[in-house]
Amino acid sequence: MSIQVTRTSVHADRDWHDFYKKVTSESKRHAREIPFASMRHAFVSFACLGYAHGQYVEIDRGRRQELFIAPSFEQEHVPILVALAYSRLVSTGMPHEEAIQVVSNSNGFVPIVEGWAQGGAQIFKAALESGSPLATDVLMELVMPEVKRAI
Amino acid sequence: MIDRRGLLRAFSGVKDENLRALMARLVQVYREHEESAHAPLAHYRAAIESYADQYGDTLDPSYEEPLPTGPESLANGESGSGARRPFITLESLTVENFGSYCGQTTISLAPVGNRNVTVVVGSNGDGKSTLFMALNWALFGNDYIDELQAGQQRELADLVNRAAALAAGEQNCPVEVSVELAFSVEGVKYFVTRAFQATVTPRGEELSISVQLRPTKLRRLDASGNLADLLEGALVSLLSQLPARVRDFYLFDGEKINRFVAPGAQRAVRSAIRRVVGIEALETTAEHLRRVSAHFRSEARRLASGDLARIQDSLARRTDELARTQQDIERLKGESLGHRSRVEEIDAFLSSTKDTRPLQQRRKELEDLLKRYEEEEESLVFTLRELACHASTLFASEAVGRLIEELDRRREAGVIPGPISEQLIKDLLDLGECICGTPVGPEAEARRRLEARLDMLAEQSRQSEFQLGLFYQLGSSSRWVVDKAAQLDRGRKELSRIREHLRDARNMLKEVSEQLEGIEVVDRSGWEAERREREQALIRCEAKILSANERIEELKREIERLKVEEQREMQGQMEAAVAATRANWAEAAELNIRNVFAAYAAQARAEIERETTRLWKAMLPNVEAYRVSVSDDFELSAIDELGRPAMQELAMGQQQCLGLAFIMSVAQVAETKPPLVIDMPFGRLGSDTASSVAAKLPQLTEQLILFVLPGTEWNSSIQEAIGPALARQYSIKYDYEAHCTRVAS
Repeated sequence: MSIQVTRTSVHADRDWHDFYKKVTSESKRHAREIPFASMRHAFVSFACLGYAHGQYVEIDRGRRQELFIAPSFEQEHVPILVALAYSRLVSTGMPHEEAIQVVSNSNGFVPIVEGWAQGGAQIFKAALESGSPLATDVLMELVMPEVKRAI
Repeated sequence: MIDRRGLLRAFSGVKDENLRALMARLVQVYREHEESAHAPLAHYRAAIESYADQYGDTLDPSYEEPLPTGPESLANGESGSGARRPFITLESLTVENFGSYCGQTTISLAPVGNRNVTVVVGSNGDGKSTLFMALNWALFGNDYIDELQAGQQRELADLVNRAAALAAGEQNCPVEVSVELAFSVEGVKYFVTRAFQATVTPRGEELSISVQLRPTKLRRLDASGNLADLLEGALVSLLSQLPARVRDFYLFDGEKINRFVAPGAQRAVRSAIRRVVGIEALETTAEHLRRVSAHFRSEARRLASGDLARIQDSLARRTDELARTQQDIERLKGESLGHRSRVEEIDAFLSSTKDTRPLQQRRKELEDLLKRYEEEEESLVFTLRELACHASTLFASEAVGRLIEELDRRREAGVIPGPISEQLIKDLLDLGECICGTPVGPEAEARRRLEARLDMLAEQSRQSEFQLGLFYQLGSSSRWVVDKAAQLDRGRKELSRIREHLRDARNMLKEVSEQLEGIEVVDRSGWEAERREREQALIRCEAKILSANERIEELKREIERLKVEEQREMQGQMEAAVAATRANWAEAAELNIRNVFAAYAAQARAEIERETTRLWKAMLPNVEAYRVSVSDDFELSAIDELGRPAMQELAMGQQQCLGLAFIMSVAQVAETKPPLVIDMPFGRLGSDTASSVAAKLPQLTEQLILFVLPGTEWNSSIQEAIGPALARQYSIKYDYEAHCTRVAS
């Protein structure tokens, strides 16, 4: 039985919607200055970054704005997002079985991951402000230490 | 060498006394110097010019004279030999509302006793060049205005004084603008006045000015002190006392001095020498003789009959062809000179400008390379951006790892994938009997218990399956992410390499661009193409000249042969014989006149070369090692001790002095010494050189008018050098508030 991904909306704080737009473009010409090809890519990276920095920022439900819907996640990213959500749940004391139950579908894991992504977006914004004007380089600089460790 | 008999015979029957006298004078000159290899050709020239000035254009060649009266009688004739050009003296210049001069301003220019120099001192913009323009306009009228318009894009309306124009605009009345030059020729005083009326219409802050030219006035002051009006045409005649196109050679606005030493100056040098020789006069005379011979040739043909007529026809055709071919050669020589001058100009230009093509080519290559690297970088970054996003999930490694660990622990403990009994119960229910033999059919109590157990296990199984699936998906995703990370790592190395190339290429491009900066980029290909075309045209011209010369030799032989036949046939056809003889003599005379010119031109060139060298060295002690050469191609050049061309080695001041020396020597050889007007004569000279030149200049001409800058061109050493010859000095200063030049003497 696989993770159930339905048409769950993926959100960010509405004040951060413009930031998502700013860091997103499919254009090849702007690949150096704009680090993400799509909002889902930005969301996944931010979520992982937020997790790595332990920065979880819960989004006020009244201030949410949709970025995209869950089926657009790449297949390989979904279990990772589930792991992030699971980690958040168990860290609050929820038992394993219950946590697994919650993250088994997108309605369960997406709202939790949104908090990590919100935290990660703030970190990335700060990195952009103090780093190279070539934003993609900033992303790569952030990622490369992890890459070196992994390979 | 002059063929005396040919000259005598040619004109023995000519009615025109002046022509007869001319030829008699030529013969006399020839006789006087028969013993020497080189007759004083200036005498020939003077005689010919005197004749041509008076009759060259007007003679009717329809002579009807009786038989020749004998050549020797002509030898006693007198001519206007020793004709000397009368001197022109510029007396004064008056300008009214002209250029920077508001109202009426007069400056005297006439020499005072032996003091022949007038100096006008003023800074740039003070009005020196305005006076220079006024002189030119007074002397050359609309021709000069046309030249001004073509060269400096200045209209007459631009020459209206601003203060006068503003006042006229306010008062709604026209402005009278005029220039009057007083000059004397052989002691007789003349006034030439050029004027126009300007109507001024204010248009906002601008003034719109329309002009209406006034008729030119030329007046002569007679012995009783009365002014008599002359027709404007008389001015041309008066000015003809000066060398032809006097402004080209005796009014210099600074840069013109240098044109004789500039590359490709052969035309200007040739033109100057030809004018010294009096080529126009000589050509007019020769042309006249050609017409005379053609007339007699035609007469001879009309009168001849039989074989003589046939011979005359042949002779006429060949002499016509000979004349045409000679004209062609002259034309081709002119064309050759033009091409040669242009080739030199192009060579000088190309050697004075840097060939930027290799640098431009390098810049283009680097730009292309840079573009390629930029495209590669862009493409790679596009790929790496996505890989970086995938690799960023490594930040979640800990969470992923912990979950995998938890799931793995549960899997190993058998918690997942959960109990296998679910399938066993299903199988038992399907069979309707337990393995122990207890029936579990539809009605059996055991079946109800088994079915309740099955429901509970199903829920546990879904969760267990999910966890197992998650376990495998996490493992698969982790491997996928590591793979992407490895790709990112490789890509980053490639990106570093490309960026290093980009940096190098940008640095190199910057260096090349800096080298190109400040260099005038010229289309050398265009110049080189023109040079090739000119060289080919030159070769074609020279080939045509060679071929034409061969044809001339051939025609001359044929003509000689025909003339022998003609002599034989002329017996018994007296009238035709007389006409033919006259034609032959006229042809011989024409040939001799041309020979006179050629010899004189060669002599003039040698004299100019010698005199230029002398004057140049007198001006500059530091050019002792050089000599001046005027080549057969009329190229003025400096030659060093080893006989090598050295013009390029000369400093700007040395070159300018050479140009000045050439001008002076032309004037001296021409025996004219006309007024010499020079705008900024010492601009390019060092102070010592300027003093040396300043001391020499007044001795070279009868009247010298200089427009100089204060300080650099009019310092104490120059003033001291010119001092003994200084007749008048004016200081001019432009008053910007009053829009007017003030003159102080």
